[in-house]
Amino acid sequence: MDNVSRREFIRKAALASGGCAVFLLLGPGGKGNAAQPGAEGGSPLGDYDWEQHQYAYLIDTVKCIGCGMCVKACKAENNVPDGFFRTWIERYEISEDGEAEVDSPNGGLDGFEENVSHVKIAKAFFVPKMCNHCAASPCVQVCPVGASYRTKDGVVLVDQEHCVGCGYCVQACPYGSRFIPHDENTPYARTAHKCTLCYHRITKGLKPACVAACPVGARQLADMKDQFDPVRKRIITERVAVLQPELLTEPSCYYSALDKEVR
Amino acid sequence: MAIEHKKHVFRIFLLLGAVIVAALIARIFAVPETFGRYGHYRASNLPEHAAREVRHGGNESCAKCHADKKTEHDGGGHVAVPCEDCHDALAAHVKDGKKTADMPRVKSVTRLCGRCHRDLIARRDDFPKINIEKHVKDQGAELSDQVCFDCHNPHNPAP
Repeated sequence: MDNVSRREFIRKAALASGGCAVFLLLGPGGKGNAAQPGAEGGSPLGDYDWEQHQYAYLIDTVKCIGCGMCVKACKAENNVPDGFFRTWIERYEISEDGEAEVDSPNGGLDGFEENVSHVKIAKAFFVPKMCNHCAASPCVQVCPVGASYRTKDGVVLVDQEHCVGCGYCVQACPYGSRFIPHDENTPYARTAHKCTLCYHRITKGLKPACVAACPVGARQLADMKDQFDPVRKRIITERVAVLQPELLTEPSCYYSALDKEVR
Repeated sequence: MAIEHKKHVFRIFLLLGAVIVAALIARIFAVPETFGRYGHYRASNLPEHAAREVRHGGNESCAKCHADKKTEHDGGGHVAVPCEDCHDALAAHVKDGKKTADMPRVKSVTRLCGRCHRDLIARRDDFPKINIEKHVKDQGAELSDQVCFDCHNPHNPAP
């Protein structure tokens, strides 16, 4: 083969592969917009309009008494398998020289029974933890099959029908909010489980089970698109913090009176 | 000679075309129908999440049958504690407005009360907390699972 024909071959091959690439790129666009009953253009959830809501969450660590009722309610509402937690309570006991002792016996499901630390405690408090429903969620970014996503109203969910259980999201979440149960008796075993912000409740105007269960108002749901929402007002007017802001995950969970020891 | 090469090139492209067509056909079956409508996910998963069973009914649902308890509860210091915190979720007891099972009984009242009232260091001081063992002893009683109820009505505790 002479040089000219080789050049010709490469030119044609490049053209052809470019054409294929264009074809592949255009392919999915047409399909994704295919007609579907009900949902075209509007809300996918019937009467509930997800464009009208943007959820956030406020955790008041000063109010929390560590009763663990939220953990219990979450488990009952969502059939959370034993030994795993969609929300949990951490207890911090910090000594006068700054040493922190952190525990969370059974996630706080049964409450806390004894003090842990025997050194002189300078300050001690409880911190409820859960999925932060981040706007720039690392868990969604790493999902290789499009099974993790964030809804328009600000909730990070898992499509457990399509999750392949690779566990990338579990590793990607800096807050430890996801888990993969391997017990075959668990519904959707070997797929990622996480807090759904009780999507089945909030889309009906109910509060998440953890918020409804809290006897001291330490956990509250805010709707950032409702300008009369008192919890939204607290988030925008009071001094609140998010966990690990340096990771730029843009959490939707805000903490009031967050201590520097809490990550 | 040139004609011979053309044939080979043609075959290669034909094969490539066949592979692409096969991949596109496989894609139609592999990608869920509603995938990509709102983002890089299956849109029909949203109503699946929204349709899950609501298991906690809230105090109002309890009051439909236990109005007397609600009146008693609403007038006391435990008004902020939802019924389903100490008892169980509504779904364990009622389905479609009909009783399906007894509410599970609380095994240890002492532990239940202690969840909120045990005098832990981490528990804030402006909340009523108590050393349960010492308190029971001071009252001249024996520590047992139901001992708190001997003096305190959980639905309407004395301040």
